[in-house]
Amino acid sequence: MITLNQNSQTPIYDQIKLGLKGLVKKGLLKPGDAAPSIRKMASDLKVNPNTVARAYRELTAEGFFESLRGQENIISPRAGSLAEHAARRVSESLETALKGAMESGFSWTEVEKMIAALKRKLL
Amino acid sequence: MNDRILETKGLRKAFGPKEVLKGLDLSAERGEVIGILGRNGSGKTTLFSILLDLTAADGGSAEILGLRPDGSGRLRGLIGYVPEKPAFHGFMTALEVLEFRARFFKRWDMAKALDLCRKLELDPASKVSAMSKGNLAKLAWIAATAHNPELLLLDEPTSGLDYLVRDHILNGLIHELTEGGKTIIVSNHRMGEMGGILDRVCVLKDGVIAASHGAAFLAEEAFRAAARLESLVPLPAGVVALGGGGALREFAVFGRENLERLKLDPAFAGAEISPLSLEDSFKVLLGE
Amino acid sequence: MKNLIILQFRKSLLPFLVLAGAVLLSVPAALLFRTQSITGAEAVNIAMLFWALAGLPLAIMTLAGTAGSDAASDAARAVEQPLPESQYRQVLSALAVAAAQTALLILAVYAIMGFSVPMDKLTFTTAHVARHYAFYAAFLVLYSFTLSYAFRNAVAGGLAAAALFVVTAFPLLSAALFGELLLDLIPLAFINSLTAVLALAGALGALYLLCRAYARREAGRAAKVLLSALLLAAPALPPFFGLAALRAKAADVTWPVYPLVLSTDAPEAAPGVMLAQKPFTGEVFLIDGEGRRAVVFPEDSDRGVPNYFFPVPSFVRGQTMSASDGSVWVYCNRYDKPAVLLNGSAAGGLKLRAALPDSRRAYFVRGKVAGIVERRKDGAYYAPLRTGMGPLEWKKIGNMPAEAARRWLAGTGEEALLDAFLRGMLAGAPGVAVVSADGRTVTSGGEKWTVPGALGPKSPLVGVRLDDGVNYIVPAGDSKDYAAYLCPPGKAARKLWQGYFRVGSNLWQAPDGTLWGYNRKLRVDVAVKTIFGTKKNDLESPQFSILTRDGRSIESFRLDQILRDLPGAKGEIALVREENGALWFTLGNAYLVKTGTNPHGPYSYWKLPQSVQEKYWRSTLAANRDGLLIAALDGVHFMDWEGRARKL
Repeated sequence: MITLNQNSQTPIYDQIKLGLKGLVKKGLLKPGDAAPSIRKMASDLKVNPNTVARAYRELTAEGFFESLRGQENIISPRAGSLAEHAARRVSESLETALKGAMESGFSWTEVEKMIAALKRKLL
Repeated sequence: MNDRILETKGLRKAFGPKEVLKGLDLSAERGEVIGILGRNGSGKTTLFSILLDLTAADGGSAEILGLRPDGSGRLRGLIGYVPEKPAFHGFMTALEVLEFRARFFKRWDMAKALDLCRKLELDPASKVSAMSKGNLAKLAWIAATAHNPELLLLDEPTSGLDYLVRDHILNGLIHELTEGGKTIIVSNHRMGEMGGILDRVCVLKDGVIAASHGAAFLAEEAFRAAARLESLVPLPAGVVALGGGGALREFAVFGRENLERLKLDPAFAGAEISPLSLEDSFKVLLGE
Repeated sequence: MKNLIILQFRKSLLPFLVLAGAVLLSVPAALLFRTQSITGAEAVNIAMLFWALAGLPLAIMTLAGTAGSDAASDAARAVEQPLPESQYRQVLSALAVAAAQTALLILAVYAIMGFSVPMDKLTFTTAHVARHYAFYAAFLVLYSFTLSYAFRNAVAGGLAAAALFVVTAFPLLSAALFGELLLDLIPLAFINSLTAVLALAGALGALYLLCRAYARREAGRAAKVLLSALLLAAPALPPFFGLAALRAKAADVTWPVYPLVLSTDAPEAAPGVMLAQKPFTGEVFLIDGEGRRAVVFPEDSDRGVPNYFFPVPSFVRGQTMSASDGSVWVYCNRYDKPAVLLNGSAAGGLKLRAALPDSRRAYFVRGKVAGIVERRKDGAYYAPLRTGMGPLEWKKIGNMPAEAARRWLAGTGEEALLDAFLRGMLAGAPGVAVVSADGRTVTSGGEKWTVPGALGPKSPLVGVRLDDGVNYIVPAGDSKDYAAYLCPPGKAARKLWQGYFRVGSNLWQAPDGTLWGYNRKLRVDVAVKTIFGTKKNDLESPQFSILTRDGRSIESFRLDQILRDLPGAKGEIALVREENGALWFTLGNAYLVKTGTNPHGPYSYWKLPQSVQEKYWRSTLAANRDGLLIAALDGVHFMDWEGRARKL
């Protein structure tokens, strides 16, 4: 379900959060579904359960998870909209930046080169 | 409840003229998962032996779970130990081994032991003398965890085992962690496979803990830099030379700050930065 | 630890069952293969004895040896050490199991023997081993285990244990046998206990140190191993030193030299000196009350290696006689050396007068001139003993037919010829009286007494020298009643005492000249207090008749009260001195007693230094005018008449 990149600069708990959010965005996890238990997630990913627990805590704090009928870590109805919201924000930032670039006279090819360089820098 | 589960200060051990531990300091808090990284023969097993009160240290002190190793064997009743080469009495079956051990450990949970047998697919009626390496490892794991010890010492728990057994062991480890409150110290050749589970990595080199890094730090803040050096320069902090011939050199950089400083260093202008894998980080730490 | 013991039992079950099975199978095997001459029970006993002396020791070495080497093996380290039991206790549990298995096997053998050992069928050595079997078996178990643990090898450990066992047990055995057969010279019970304690502590201590050195790999390994070795060797020290002490003490043991032949007419031993021997060194010497000594036979220079482990005594026979010039004649006969005749004094030394290599027996005889009779292969010879350095002039005593000679040489049959000769010699000697054939007169030299019913016409009577000269005590009487007559010089004979008395047979003269003897012993009841209550013993109390030098006679003197007070003195009671009405007696070899003429009155007594206690309770004392010479366990002592004693 989720794959981790051990070599990434992104902390593992962040990768877990992103992974879960991605699953909801793809529609593989729907609001009302229970997230995999901490134990199962940790076993599958071969990570420390504390790491998973931290990710889940933050997701709960962000409103991605909710507790329902005594069960924890249920995908909240807002999860989908949160994901969409995040995607929309990213899209808007990119649009702003690209518009700025083109207005500054950069061609698409140059922009793509810059993106490639940034990718190497950030990842 | 004391949160410092384990503390050694200046532990020394020599076997005849050969000094193996030369003043080893190690500490572990409750709930930590610590990986001991060291080359073959660096003293990992000796360290475990001293912690288990099986070998007497020549000098220094050790305090584990509030007790000092005094030869009485009490410590061994509170620690779950998986040795590098698990050994049991050949004439016993797995069940007999577990029943035998049950009489020695106060907090033995037989139900848990049998449940683990089932989960790990170990036949309780199988005889030890006929067991494969994988089954012996499973039995050793069950024997170590069935009495719910606060501290687990694992010496190469997955070495030489096939993928499936290794998976079982790692899952078992994670299960123990999920229960909470367990401190684990593990030495592993393929530390990479446990990268996600570890909290901290300690490098055992030249008889001491030469370096101790958080696992997250090594995963997120280890970089590889390839640069062209006109002349030999002293290496800034956190930078380790990796090799490369001629003017083109490769370096490992630990720490984001050190990386930023490197990028600004005129000697390293134009360096290619890429992330350093966990495995490679470990190799660098070992070789340093 | 109980669980470990059960585990160890399980691990070594197979070899133990094999051994137990072998023990049990030997019963039907013994019954099957016995010879017709022994019963079934005896055959089984023999089989069990074989097990006890040979099979079980090997079994012990095997069981304990493999247990020890297993405990030290890498396999044990890997499997058992991670258990939460101290490594020392793990080793002890293996030892405990080996010991328990040994005990079971021994018990089985003992039970098959019917819980009793036929001690009478065993030699001294095996009987000793049987009595101390528990100790020897425990030693073997402990040491086989510990040494196998040390060497990590059952064979090496077993052999080393056997070697230490021999080194420890052999001196113990020697000392014990010596004590049982001969003398109690060293505190064997203490040495045994000390050895046992050291063996137990040593093995356990060594095991502890080895555990720390090998299992826990503590620093200072060499020192620990060395200390273990010392601890294991320590139990060999008490037996070794005990045996050395035994040999040293044995070398001091002194005993008088007794004559081979005791005849009633034999000359008295030389007064004032004692012929003494040290049986364990071979030294024989003449010693006087001042401590001056002259050597008869020197110490053996080399008694051989076996003698080191088991001192064997050798005894000599001999006799002394005083010569007319005051010197002393000494005859001494050792079985492996030529007999010797010497002359001299304790102060001035002894000179060899003749070696008598061919003699079987020789002894001094009275006569006009005192002489020596020697029995050789071809007959009896006589030589007068004159002072001066010339050789002895031997004269053959008559001729005998071959048959009589043979019987006579063997010591059986009639010795009429020799007797006649001796009597003839005696009759001619000074201080000897002869009873007339009709039993009415007694003649000596120029003197003559009338004694009605004098006895012994054929046997000359030896006189005694009192203050007034040589007196004769003549036994007289008929079958109903006997009396002793005194024949003083220059006076008529008078009846002295009731009863039969004869000088040399039951009448003796003390060194100061007091005459004493007894012919009756009466029983005296003695109540002895022991911790269990009082016990009734009865003693024999002689009825003494005493004639002092100045002629006072005490016809009936008994020491009942003294014997009641000083029980346990075995051996003869002798009068040794009389002075101003005080009488000195020796009770056996134990006490010197001084009493007044009132036997119920006050008395003093002194305990004599301890002498060898032997079967016949012969006297180890020689009295002279000034005191007693005592041949004691640690040398010759001298005690004066007030009980002050010193070692010479």
